[in-house]
Amino acid sequence: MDDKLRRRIIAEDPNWSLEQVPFLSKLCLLAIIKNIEVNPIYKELSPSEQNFIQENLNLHAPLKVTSKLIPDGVYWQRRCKELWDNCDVSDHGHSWKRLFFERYLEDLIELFLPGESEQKSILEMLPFCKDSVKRLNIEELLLPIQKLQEEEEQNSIHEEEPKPPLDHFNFNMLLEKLINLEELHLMYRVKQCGMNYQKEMFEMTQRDCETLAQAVKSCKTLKVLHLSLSNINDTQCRLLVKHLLDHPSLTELDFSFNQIGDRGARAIGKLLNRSKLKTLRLYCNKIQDHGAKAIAHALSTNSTLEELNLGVNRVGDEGGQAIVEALKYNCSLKTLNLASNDVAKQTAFSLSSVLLQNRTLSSISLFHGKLGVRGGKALREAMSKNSTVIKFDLDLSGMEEEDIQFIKEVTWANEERASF
Amino acid sequence: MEKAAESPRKKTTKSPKKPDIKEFSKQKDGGTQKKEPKKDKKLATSQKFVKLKRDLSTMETNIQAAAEAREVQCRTEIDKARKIRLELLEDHNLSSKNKLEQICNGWQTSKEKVVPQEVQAALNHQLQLFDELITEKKRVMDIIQQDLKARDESFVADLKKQTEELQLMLERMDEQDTTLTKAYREELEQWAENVQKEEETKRIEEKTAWEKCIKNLLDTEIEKLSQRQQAVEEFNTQLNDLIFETYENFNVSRNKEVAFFQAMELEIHQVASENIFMEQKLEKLTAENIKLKSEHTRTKAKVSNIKSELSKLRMNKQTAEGKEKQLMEKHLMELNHKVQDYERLQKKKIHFAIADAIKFENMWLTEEAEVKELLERALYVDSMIYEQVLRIPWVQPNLSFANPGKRWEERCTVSQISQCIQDQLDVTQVVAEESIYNESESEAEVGERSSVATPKTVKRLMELLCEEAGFLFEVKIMNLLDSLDDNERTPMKMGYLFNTLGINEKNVPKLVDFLYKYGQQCTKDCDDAEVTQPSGSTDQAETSSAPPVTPDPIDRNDVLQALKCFLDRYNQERVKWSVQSLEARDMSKEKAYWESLGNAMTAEKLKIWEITEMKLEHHHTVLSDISKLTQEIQSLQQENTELQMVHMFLQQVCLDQSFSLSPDVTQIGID
Repeated sequence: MDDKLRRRIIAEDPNWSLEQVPFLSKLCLLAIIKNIEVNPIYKELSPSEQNFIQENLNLHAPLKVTSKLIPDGVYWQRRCKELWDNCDVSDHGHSWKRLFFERYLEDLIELFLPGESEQKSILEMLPFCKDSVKRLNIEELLLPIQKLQEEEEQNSIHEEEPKPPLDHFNFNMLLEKLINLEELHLMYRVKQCGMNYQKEMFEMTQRDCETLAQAVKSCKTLKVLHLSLSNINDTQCRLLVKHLLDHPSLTELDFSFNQIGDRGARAIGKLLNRSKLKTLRLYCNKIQDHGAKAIAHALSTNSTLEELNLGVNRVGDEGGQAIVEALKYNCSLKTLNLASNDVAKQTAFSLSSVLLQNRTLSSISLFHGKLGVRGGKALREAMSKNSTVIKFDLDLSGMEEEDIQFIKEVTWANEERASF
Repeated sequence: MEKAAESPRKKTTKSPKKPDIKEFSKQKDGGTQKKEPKKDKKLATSQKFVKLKRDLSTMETNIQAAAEAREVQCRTEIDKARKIRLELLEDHNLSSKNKLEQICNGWQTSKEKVVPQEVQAALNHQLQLFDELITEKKRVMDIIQQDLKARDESFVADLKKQTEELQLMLERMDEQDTTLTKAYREELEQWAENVQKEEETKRIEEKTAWEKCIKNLLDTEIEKLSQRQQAVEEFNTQLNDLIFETYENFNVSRNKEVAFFQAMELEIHQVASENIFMEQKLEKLTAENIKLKSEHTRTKAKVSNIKSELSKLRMNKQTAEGKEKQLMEKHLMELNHKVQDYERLQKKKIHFAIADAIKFENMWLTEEAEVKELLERALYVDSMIYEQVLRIPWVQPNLSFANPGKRWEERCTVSQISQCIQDQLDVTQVVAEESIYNESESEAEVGERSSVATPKTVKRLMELLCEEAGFLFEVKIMNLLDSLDDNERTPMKMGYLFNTLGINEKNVPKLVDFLYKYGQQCTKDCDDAEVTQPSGSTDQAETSSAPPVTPDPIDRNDVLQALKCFLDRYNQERVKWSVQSLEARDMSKEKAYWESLGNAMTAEKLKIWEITEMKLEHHHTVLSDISKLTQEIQSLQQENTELQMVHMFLQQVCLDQSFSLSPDVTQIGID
């Protein structure tokens, strides 16, 4: 009977063709997709079938299932594209899955309202994320709004009453669970605050600092820590550095755009020789001669640091000279940035003598110094005998244009030689 | 104020910064400049790209530098403003403090006053002061507020400016981007063009080549086709011809064959009849054949027998050959043995010959000595006979021949000399082809030679020999000899030496001669190096006339060599000589010699001797008779005496018996 039926149908339907009949395997795959929560199957399939699932799996399938079942692939790309417009995979190790989880977690943290939203919602996510999250780039952290309003009220009514602590998100819980975390970029600030500006929005409290310090200390896989634009003062800096001493894996530390002064710099100088730091950025802080000398002292005995950025600080000629002199005993530093400081010709003289000895230094930035014409001449003479420096920024440093041009040409020649 | 100061700074740090316009113009110039040499070669383009990229990086650094400059400027401005503000506040503080003190003082003075008007005045004054203070404060506040406003405005202006600059920078960046992309694109286009051109040219070239090839191929193909068509036509015509020919031929041959067939049939009939006859014959033949076959088989069997025998014989032959070979080998071995035996025997024979010769010589000498003794005895007896018996004076017979030792020695010396000469010849030939001696000259030569070897030289030679051969002496003998004086020692030593060396004393002069010659030869050798080889006679004359005067006749070092040489030679010589001496003995002379010895006593003498013997025998017999008779006489005389004695005794007894008979009678009976 069936046969007859089929035949009749074929005869009656002129558009019918065998191609329209879906393959059983396809149907099976669709069934798998449908029941993926109940019966997760992926690894047993052939590559082409896996591809099919990646392309057709429901985007709102619970992460509980998919995070472990589905490897990096089209599925995660689709999910990312759904959530965010611009996705740059190169920032996340060319892995869509990593990108998805990292940004997902970042969004969760950035939108976390202490006091109001529950920490549970984030902690629940952690078991799914922990394998793939390697880098967290958090650009803002919100303050508890209600308290803020209360505080405003309080401010208006009872000015004398002590303010309740306005703590940000507590990282202590988070970092312990993320076993693969390598990079942490933090900014204690609020983007687009508009007219609701408050000083507290742009700084971290003492408790924030303590919790963060403990969290960072507990995270043994961390390699990169960026804590910029957070108005860190000396005491906070010292507290953080104290917990970072002897960290097993930290190689990059960025405290740019903060309020670190000489005391903080001294603490960081101590850290230099009790860690594996390769990169230290203290761009745009308030470090003066004493802090620079402390760092210089550490630098003279250090053998790991490769990049030191002290740009836009208040280092005077003495501090600059101390740092440059330290390079006589250091043979690991490759990049030095002393731009926009108050360094003057003594630094230039010292640097010119160091350039004749040192063979590791390859990039120097000194613009906006006050090197003067004589300093420029000394540097020009030193550079004429140097063959390792590839980049040497000297604009607006009071030197003669001719000297700057000459040094530039030398660096270009060195660069060409290095590229061969 | 601080907030206002901080926020623009933050803005500056956040937003991209404005670079100097100069730098932009520079970059632009760079960009336009780089457009021009675009159509240069690849090197230039690569350099151009490097420069473009460098421009990008310089732009970035410039922007950063500008931003930092701005930041620094901002910082200094803030610091300045802060300073001014602080000064202002401090001034205000001071003035307000003074005023406050004034007021306080005013309160105190007002308390002292009692008059209400005065109090009112004081109050008014105080109020005035308060007002002043407040106005002052307000003024300061105004100033600060104005400052704040100005800051705010400037911040807004800054923001606006920054946004404008941002826009500008973005534009510039876009521009640069576009220039770079344009450059890249142009480069790419150029590349594409170049590639396309190359491709086209290549394609055209290849196309033309291809067409040529195709044309050639087609031409050749067409030619081949036409040739083939022609061939086909030719073959067709040939084929037709052949068909006709073969058809005709076939017809003719068929006719012929039919005729032939008929003839053949006839023949077949005939042949059949013949066949029957032949069959009969064949039967007979087959019978015969069978016979022959049987015979053949028999002969075959025989042949096989013979063959087997032959093989057997061959086997036998082989075995025999093997045996023969073995035998041959055996015989050869035996032969070798025999040859060795023969050689041994030869040696033995020589040895025995030597021994015999020596024995013979000894025998000869002893015999001769005996004979001589006998002869002497005979002569003595003869002389006795002549002198005592015959009483004739004895004449000494001629016994010149019978000097046997001399005779022997003569013979020996002659042979020895000849031998020696021959040896000398050998020596000279071996050592240095000095000269050839004639046999006739040899005697004189020898004489001369011996004369050359004067006793002095001989002695000297002997001493040398003794010294050099000193190792042959035993220590004991040396000690014994040391006690003797020089003149006695050398002979003794020589004697011992010769004894140990086994040299006969007779050969000593020969040894001396040899040594002397050897030494001479050595010196001669040295001379020969200078003098060219002269002829034999002159050479000889030289050697004889001018004997070399040397302190030592022979070099000390050569002595042992020479001695060794001599001993070898001597031994050889002895062997030779002994053999030769046996052969070269002149038997007839010997015989004559011996006969002469035998005939030393002449027949007459013998006769005389016989007669004398006879006479003597006769005489002897007579004498013996006489002696017998005398003996008898003697015995008789003795008897007579005895008897006389007995008679006398008896007479005595008889006399005694008269006195005492018995004891005397018994005594007489015993006697």
